[in-house]
Amino acid sequence: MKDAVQSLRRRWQELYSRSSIQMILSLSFTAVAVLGLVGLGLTLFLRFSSSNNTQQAENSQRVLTQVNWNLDAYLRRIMRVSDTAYYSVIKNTDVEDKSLSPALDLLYENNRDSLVSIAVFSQEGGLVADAPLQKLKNSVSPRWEDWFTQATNKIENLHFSTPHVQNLWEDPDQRYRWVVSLSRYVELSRGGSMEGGVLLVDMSFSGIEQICKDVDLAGSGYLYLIDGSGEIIYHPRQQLIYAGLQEENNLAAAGYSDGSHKETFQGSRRQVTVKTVGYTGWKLVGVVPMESLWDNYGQLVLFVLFVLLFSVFLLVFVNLRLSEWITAPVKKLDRAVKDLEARRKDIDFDVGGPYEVEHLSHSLRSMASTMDHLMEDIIQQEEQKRRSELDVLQSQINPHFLYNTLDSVVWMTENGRTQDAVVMLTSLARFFRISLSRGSNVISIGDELEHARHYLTIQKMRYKNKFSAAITAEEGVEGLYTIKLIVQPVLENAIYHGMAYADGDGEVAVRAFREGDDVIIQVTDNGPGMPEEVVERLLDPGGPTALAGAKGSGIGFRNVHQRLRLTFGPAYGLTILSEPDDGTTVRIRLPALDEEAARRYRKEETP
Amino acid sequence: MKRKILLQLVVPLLSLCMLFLLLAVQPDPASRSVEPVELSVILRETDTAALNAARQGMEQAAADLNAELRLLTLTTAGSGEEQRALLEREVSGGAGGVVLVPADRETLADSVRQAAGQVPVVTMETDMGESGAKAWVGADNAALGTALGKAALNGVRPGETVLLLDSLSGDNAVRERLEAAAAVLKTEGRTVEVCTPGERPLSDALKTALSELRPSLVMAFEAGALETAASVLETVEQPAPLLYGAGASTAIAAGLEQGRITAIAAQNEFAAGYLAVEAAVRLARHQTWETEDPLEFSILRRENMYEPDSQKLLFPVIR
Repeated sequence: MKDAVQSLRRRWQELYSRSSIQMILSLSFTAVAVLGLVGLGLTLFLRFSSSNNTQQAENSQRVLTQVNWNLDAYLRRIMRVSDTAYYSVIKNTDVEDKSLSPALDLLYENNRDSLVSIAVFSQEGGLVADAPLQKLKNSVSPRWEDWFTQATNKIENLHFSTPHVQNLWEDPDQRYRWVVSLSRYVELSRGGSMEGGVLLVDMSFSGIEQICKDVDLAGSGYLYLIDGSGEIIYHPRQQLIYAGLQEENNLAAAGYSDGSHKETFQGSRRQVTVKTVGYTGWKLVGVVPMESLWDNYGQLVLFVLFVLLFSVFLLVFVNLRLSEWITAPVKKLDRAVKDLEARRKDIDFDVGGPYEVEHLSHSLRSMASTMDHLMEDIIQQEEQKRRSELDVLQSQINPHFLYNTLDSVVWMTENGRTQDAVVMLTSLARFFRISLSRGSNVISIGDELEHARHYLTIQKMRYKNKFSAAITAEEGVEGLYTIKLIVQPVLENAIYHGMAYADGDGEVAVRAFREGDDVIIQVTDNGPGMPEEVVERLLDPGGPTALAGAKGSGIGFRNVHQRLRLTFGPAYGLTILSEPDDGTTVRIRLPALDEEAARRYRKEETP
Repeated sequence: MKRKILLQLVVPLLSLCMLFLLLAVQPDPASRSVEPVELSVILRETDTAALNAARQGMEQAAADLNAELRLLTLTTAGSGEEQRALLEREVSGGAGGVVLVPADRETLADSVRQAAGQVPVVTMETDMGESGAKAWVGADNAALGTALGKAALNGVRPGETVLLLDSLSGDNAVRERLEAAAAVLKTEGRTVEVCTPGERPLSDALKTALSELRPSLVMAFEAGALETAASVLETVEQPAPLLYGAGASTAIAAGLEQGRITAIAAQNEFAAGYLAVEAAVRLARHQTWETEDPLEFSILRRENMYEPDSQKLLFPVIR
């Protein structure tokens, strides 16, 4: 469970982080609005539904009250007939002297629309009088009939029976009538003495049916009538129930109190309204299937549903547009920031929008401007730093060489080798002229090789021609450009470490040639060479500044190497190929700069 | 942008309007009422008096299910040939379904099979499912005959004669009831004679049989024959033989009450009529109908005919 919650939370966070502000705003607004709408709609609908149910229940109550009133009036009329027969006819007549039949007949004729028969029986069940005049069936014994026993058992009451087929009278047409019997105990006067008897009034079943049948309840609602025990007195589908083809929840309804109830019968929900019919204890039961209630306002439900859907749709649309309008400046700002990240120029931070976004855009614009200035400052500072480093490296060369050469000139002059001293000084002068190059750090490869040549002249004199030197250049290479003083330090190392101990057979060769877009100036000597670890240390910026046991600082290699890399990038610099006893080859790789390219480098030098 | 607005606003709006129209024009239940089914009910009698309760059930079902009934009686009671002709005529005449009270399985088998291929045929009393009838409504004839036979055992001593009325010659419900009753009676040592009227009226055949066989008990197996037998027995010199039979009508009830009929095996004729028409209508509308269990029946005598349940069985609430 916990894992599932965490997984859900993680997914939600992923979705959240992947979604745009507009999407989040749209979905949030829509969800809240739809929930609100649905809640409101549901509340209204339930309220309406409840109100409608109440109204239908009240309507059923009204109908039942009306039917009850009619039924009560009908039953009271029958009871009045019974009262009249008893108090006006039976009590005033001695059955031995006078027949009751004419008076009963008159009473019957006045109420024949409601009555089937009126009859008076003695306590033994003998027929005393009846109307209309009929013959009692031989097979019938009235005293064992329910209506008779009820009347004699509770003599103070009037008794209404459930519907039954009246089987008392012979009928040549063999008609069997369903009736509801009203029976009561009566006192008969016979020859001056009183004896008990039973007055039976059979009312027409159709009379009750007329009252109950055309009742207008909602939809397919209907009404039925039961007695106190739940026995059906009237039901619109009474014969189907009698035939076992349909069932009714009449026994349960007998237990309902007056009012509206809900029940589920045979899987169908129904609203049942019950009303007790006064004296009889009968109950009128109005049944309205819940489906009927829905049918009545199905169109309304449809309309509400449509309005709801339409509102939801409008909300979605408005939310989409609104969120788009709100998030447009933010999106624009986002694009501007992306441009800023991509180092584009002329970024438009003027995104408009509400105050917060406007403020944010101003801040970003200010920040971008500040960043630009800072970047420019940093670049300038870096350039100055690079130039300073170059100057420092440059300055490391000249005093070193000047010291050595002047030392040689002093030495020659002291030994009377004036001519040699002149040659050396001449070469030195030319050497320095090229070194200065009117302050420019970029010179032609031809000048650089010339510079190397003068240097070699000086050194050869110093080392008394212990070695020979040759400088060659591929055609066209001399016209290309390089930073100055890159060959001389290499030569210096070749001489100090390769030629110092040569015995006239030392050789130093300088060769300049093209290799693709690059120029290679290769300095080769046939000196003793170096072991691999020494070679590795030579170009290591963090390595020791002097070679153990060797003359010279070894700073020249690193100096040239760093200058080339600082100027042209890490792809350029020195490569040393050396094996012990097998000489050394130093390859200086630099880009092939024409006049135009060289001008750009000169420009960078300008502070 | 325009395309976006079109997608966001116009298309859903049109969809909603379409939905609303579709929902709004949905016909209300009143206008969705189905076409009435024309049903032909081919009876076995020359009139419907003996089938009054069943006819009421049929009419009630027709009213409930929106069907139009055409009740067809025969010119000669129990004529299978006439029923066959009527069946063929009604089916070719476009009846939506047929309810048939078969007089003879053999005579009607081909016609029923042919008719059942075109319209649903539902039979009452006599099951013709083997001939293609889609449904059958009635009591278990063998059980009913057995029950009647057992009920009659009290009215006739062993060795005495029981006359069974084979009022409908042929293979039908009457034959099944008769055979079942005969089996019980014979088993219990009663002499069983069968009165087959043939071409003669049943009353004449019965009178002849009564005078010739002097039975102690007469048993009829359908309402018409029972009513006829009751009438005939009223005219014979007393003591008349006891009369037992199957069927329920007001005339039979009167006979029962007056003692002319000793006992009857009665099914709810209203229910039988209702169920037969309901089955035919539902099948005509291509709805499902599962043949229900056989109808229940009760043995009624004068003593119990006015009990509440018996009243409901014998006397339909006439409106």
